[in-house]
Amino acid sequence: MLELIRKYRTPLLVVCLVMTALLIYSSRLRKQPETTLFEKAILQLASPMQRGFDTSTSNISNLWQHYLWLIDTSQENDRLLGENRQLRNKLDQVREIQLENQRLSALLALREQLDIPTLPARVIAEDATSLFQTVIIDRGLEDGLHEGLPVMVPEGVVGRIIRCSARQSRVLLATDASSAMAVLVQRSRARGICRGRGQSLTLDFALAKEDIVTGDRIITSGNGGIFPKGLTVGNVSLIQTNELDLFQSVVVTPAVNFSRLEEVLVLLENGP
Amino acid sequence: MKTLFFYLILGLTFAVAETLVPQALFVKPNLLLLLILTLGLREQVILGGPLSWLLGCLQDALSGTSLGLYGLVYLILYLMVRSIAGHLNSESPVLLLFLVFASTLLKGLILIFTLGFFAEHGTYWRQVLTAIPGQLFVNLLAGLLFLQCSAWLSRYRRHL
Repeated sequence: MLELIRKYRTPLLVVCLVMTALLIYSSRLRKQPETTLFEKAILQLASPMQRGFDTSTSNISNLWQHYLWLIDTSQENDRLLGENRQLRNKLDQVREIQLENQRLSALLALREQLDIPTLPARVIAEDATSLFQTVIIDRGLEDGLHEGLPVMVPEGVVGRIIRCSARQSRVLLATDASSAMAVLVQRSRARGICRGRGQSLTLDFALAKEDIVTGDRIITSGNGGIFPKGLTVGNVSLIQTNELDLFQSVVVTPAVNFSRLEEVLVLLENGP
Repeated sequence: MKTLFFYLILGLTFAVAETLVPQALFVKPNLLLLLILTLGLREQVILGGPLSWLLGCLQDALSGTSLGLYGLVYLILYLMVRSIAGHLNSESPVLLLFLVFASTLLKGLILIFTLGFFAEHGTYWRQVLTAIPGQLFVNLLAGLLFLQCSAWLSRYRRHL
């Protein structure tokens, strides 16, 4: 028997090994979720080695990629910088469109509020000198505009058209020294004439006895045939009275920021 | 005729450029004033006179409320410069800067009197006076730039 075993030692070992492997495998198949002691030991042993290997390879890889092989990094950097620039441009455009949308929405809301037919226009240039306060808009005779039409924005009165060509018009701003409009104090109904003073306005011919206080809202009175009644002009910011004077001196801060005019609304018919 | 058109085109370019400078800057450089000074130093009255008036009217077309105001102001300025041009060294760069300084003050003065005598509204004088220091500064800067451009142009011509 021993002779027989010795003779077929190798094939028998192979068969035993295969059978053992099969048995172990088949028994483990039924107890899959459990971790054997063997597996645990191996995992425990392998862990520091794996960690060490992983750390060293990642260190070497980092060293190679970040300090030695930088061609890809440089190219990627250039690409990302270009992409960043493009995205910033797009973001700026989107912001600009968003702001324009807000302004146009306000203008549209005002247009719907007014009973008078209106025409939107864009400010395309300013006065050639710093002395006069005028702006040029992109609408003219061909769009039905003519001299004398009032111009406004949602915040209030801008001015009136003084020159008209086929496709452009010049608007005299309310702050120009030659601009004057009939106004009244909304709260007390005191009347006066609002004149431009470059950056601010003055309320002329307001009698000393009239009830005007700082912060009062000034609106157009509708007299004079240019501006319809009730459009906001500004707020009273300073009052000076002298017992001997017949009129009080009133400074009005315009409701409109004239240095930031972009889109305006031209009132096509002068309402009452 | 060639000179006339050259000055007119240059004047139109300057006037349009001034309309593109935002009003928020408070003072704008008066580029046409430099052109008027050049006219006063170089051109005879027969060409320079009508041309300076035309350039003024060109500015009026893009500024203010009444056509002819700057026409009159620039014509007076031109005649004043022309009357002393014979006694001056027109090639000196310092002279142009001095003339820019003096003519800015004179322009303000002529504007105040013209508006005071002819216009019914009388509050412009205050704005003209308050704007003079800033106007002097930007005009002198523009004068320096103008001189630099002239130097480059003459060097370029010599090179050709």
